Amino acid sequence: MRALSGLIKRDLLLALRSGGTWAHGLVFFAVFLALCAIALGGETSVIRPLAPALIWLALVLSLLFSFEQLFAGDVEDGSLEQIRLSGLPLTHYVSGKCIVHWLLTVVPLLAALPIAGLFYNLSMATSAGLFFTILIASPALIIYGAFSGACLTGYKGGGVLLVLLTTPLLIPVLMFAIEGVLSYEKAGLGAMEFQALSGLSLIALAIGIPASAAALGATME
Amino acid sequence: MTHSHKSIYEQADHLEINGLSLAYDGKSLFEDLNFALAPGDTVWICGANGIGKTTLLKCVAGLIRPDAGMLTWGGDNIKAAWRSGITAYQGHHDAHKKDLSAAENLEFWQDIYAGEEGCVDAALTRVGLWARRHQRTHTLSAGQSRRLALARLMLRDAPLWVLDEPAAPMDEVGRALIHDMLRAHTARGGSLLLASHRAPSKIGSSTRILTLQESRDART
Repeated sequence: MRALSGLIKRDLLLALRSGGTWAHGLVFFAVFLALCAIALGGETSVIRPLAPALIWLALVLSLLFSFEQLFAGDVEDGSLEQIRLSGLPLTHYVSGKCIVHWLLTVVPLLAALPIAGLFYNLSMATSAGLFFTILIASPALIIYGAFSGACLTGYKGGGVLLVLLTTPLLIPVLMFAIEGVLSYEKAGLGAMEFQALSGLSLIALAIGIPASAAALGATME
Repeated sequence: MTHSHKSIYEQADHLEINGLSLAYDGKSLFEDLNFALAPGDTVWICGANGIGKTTLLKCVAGLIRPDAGMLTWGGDNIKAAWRSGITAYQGHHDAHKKDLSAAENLEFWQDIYAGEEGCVDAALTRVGLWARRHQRTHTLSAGQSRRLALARLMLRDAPLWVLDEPAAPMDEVGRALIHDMLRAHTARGGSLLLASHRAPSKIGSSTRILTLQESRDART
């Protein structure tokens, strides 16, 4: 537990001192939504029905490019070697990295959601639906990305491969999430889509974290 | 435990390397390599650049899987011992985060190793970096950065130290410091595997040299 909290503390401190690189995803999210609104003519009646899909796309795309660097820093400076030799299970290390990544990417997007809602003139129910779909699906998003990042650690130019590897894993999440936003108005959190998203996140937790740890161990050998 | 003299390291034991072979890029680096390290022993790995010293060290530390061969720790397969953290390895990378201070870097490792409070201050003082503890590590010189990496070794009780050219970026004072640290480690019953392309020096009671040569044979 102490190792995990130490890792989280260190990575948050590093993010704080990184000159705002952690906020790139948030900037991308805002720019993407603004450009979509302009491209669609700014007409509320046109944008509103598309908003859940656009916001979810913005979220997935803003995350997709953030995984390449997830483990790269620790591999390059030798920290990961030292962590491996410390006897700390790599699953703990991967969990710590995923928690920090969630705090730095998903939480700011959740905080920015009311602004996106105002921007697209969304109803309270749609905004709440978006909030809950993102919250419930985010472990799956982060862990699948971390898995791809772990598989491609050490490969130069792995960025494109990473996108190709992560995308198929994210498609079910995207499908259930967008449907979930629409179902929330009628069925609330009991809707089938929320159960599916919870299932995907639980599977990611149970399989994705050990798989990422194994991939990291294998790429280092 | 089978070691010959009392060690203060709880996990200290005999390391045995049997029939170790590894090829890289189609070229054999070492074949059927055998040697052993008892608690308190030192083995220097010598040889020219690129001969495979670092690879051999990484094999022993558990960072590279050999093509063939068996490593045992106290007679048992070494894997369980690796997982319990018997090895402290210092390679070419110092593993510091450049945006953290010297003290912050060590505090992180103290958390990872679940070390005792006060270890960080003692380690910083020991390597002569106490006055620079609040300095970000990217402002440290190569020698100071290596001192900080060596301070990390002191944060935990790993009985097997595997060090790759630890003194490379160091000045005379730094070299003396390393020598003292290594001697203290072997005197406490720790074992030591070192790579160097310089003339090795005697550390502790039992110091041996293993030379890797181009002809693919290795002799102790």
